[in-house]
Amino acid sequence: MTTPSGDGPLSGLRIIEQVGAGSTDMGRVAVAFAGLLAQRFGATVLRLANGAPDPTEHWPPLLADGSSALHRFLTAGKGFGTVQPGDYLVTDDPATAAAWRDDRKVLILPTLDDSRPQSDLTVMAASGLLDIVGEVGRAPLALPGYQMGYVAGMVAFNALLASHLSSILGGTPLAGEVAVLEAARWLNWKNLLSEVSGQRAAGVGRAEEWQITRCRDGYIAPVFRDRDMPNLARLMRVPALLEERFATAAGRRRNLADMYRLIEAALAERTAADILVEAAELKLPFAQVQSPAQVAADPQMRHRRFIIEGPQGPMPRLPLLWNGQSVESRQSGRDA
Amino acid sequence: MTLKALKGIRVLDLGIVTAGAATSGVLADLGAEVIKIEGPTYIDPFRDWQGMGEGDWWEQSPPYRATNRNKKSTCLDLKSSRGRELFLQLVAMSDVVVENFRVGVLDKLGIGFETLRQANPHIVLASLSSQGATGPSAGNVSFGSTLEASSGLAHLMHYPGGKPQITGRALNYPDQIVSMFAAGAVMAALVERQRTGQGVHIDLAQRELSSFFVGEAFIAALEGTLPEDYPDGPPAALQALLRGQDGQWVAVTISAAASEGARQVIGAVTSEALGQFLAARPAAEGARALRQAGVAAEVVVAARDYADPYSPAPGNALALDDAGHQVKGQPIRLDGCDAGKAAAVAPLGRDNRYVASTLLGLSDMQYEALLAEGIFATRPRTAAAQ
Repeated sequence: MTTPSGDGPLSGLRIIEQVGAGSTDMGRVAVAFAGLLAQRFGATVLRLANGAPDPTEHWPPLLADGSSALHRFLTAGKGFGTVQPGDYLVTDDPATAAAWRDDRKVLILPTLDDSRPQSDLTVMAASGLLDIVGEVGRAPLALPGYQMGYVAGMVAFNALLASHLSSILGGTPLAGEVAVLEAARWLNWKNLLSEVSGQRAAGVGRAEEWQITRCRDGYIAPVFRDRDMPNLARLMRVPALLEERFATAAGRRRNLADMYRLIEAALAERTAADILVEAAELKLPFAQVQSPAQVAADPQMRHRRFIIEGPQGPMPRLPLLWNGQSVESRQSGRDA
Repeated sequence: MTLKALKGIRVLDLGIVTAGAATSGVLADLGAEVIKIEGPTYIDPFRDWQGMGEGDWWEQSPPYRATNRNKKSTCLDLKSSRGRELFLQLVAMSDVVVENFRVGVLDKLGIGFETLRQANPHIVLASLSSQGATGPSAGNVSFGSTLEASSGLAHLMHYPGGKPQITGRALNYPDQIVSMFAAGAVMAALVERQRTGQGVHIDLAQRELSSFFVGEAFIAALEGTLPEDYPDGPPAALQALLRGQDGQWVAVTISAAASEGARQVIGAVTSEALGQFLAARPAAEGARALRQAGVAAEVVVAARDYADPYSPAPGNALALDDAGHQVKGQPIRLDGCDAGKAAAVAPLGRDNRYVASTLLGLSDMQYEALLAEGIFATRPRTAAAQ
């Protein structure tokens, strides 16, 4: 999976990741995730050491030997080196970006319009993303892991590619700029749009029709619409689900507590596997809540070889196939 | 107005609802010419969502309008042999096709990747599906909530000891990240094509993408060290969600570097001290005082707290279109510019003549004949589902 074998979509592109005095923890992750995507797509990605230790080496989740799974994920296949003409820069340090020699650069800022200190959690707070998950009366739940840095890094990667395409399609490179808070608000566009179009957005405590439900050996994510109610009643062996009050989405939302009392009681003694088999027969696209280990072992993921061997151990490949092959295997010459 | 980076790139957009249509939307924001193609017997189901107002029902949906700005629109019957033939002529003069139909639909329509490649060896086809185009679950349908469940995301989000949680329909997190990721994959394919001359079929699985966004958790899980309580963000000296005097939640992250400043304001860097400090004053005032000490602190807001019905909130989450509607924005800025005001969504089939005449070289008479035959159309032959 190492970069410079020369057969990835971005082969020949060199990208420099640099953090500096103005970097933040969130920005550090964003820069590294942008570089991760570039590396997986075949670019040569180099990290410029600034003399300071890399704190992500100690960030959770940690592995048995005390090293960081995050650090392994973010840095696999990257190298260290010096800047050459034509390199692109990804940084979250404004001074580093300002000093770069040309417009082949992307700067990731916490926000565009002020200099408030920000973290993943405060970005979620300020974007409305903490008004999505949780229970009334309890502190809201944050998205897991490093989502704000990853999303901003993905946006920065796209800015870099847009700039590069501009240059190779006959134009010039275009300096890119991305703000983590703007990217977070962009994710939340549906709720924003609901508000401005007069349909009050539904935050924590909303009547969510599809709720994670416990079964005998885990949890199920049920999905159903009006036309599915007869099959839902069959799956649950609960004729009461055919009552008029459950016939429409509005009715179901008004009677959510009653409906889920029926569903939970019906699923309590059944296994996830049993439920999913019958749901599939009834064309109900339910899913099981799976842990990462279960996902990795799932027949679909195994068939598509989602877990690949990285330089230091197994890790997820890019979530796509490229003419039927993983991008990483193309670079290393392995079969997909 | 859009950014200009992808000027000269033409995208045929068969995308529907969020994933596919929003992917093309990102490419449009960056300057590509995007032609949305719907059929008279199968229009984008998003047109049937939350529709209000007078006029044709298929033109009223705010989320459809928000997602499909900056595009041209043609209505071409891909189920007919003549429509398919015209589509393949368009493929021959285009760079990218984006689709997120159920796996196998493109082949059934007779426009699978091999057929597209025969029409244009340089074409990039981006297929976005739930589970990918191969494997025992390839035909499965999914929703945002089931993707969160089956990817590992829901497992990692819960109260201590509580049941897994999902963002659900309010956000559908997997549907939001896929459009930006897929647009990046398309751009990577265009970079490669520029170098090799070869097109590519991108087979993107949304479930895999959702898992990839917690990729570090997979590494830990495979070594048996996945923690029960998963972190949210980098470690800090103290991170907490606590209520202000007015009951509003405040998110606070005190980094090691900000600890001394925090200590001067709240007395000690502990949850108890922070809780007492915030409980003694309104949330906004407490957050402001903490920020002045260099601490990351924000009141937990809802979308309604910064959505403005009269103009887009600051930043690029929403943009204004040239009909005065707020639509989806674009967080990328290039060369100091953002994507600016968007071109309002095109009514169904508005650009049929452009496609027929300018691109396909048909005469007005030929176009009118195709319109009469129903190969081109300007209104659906289906009724609203609601």
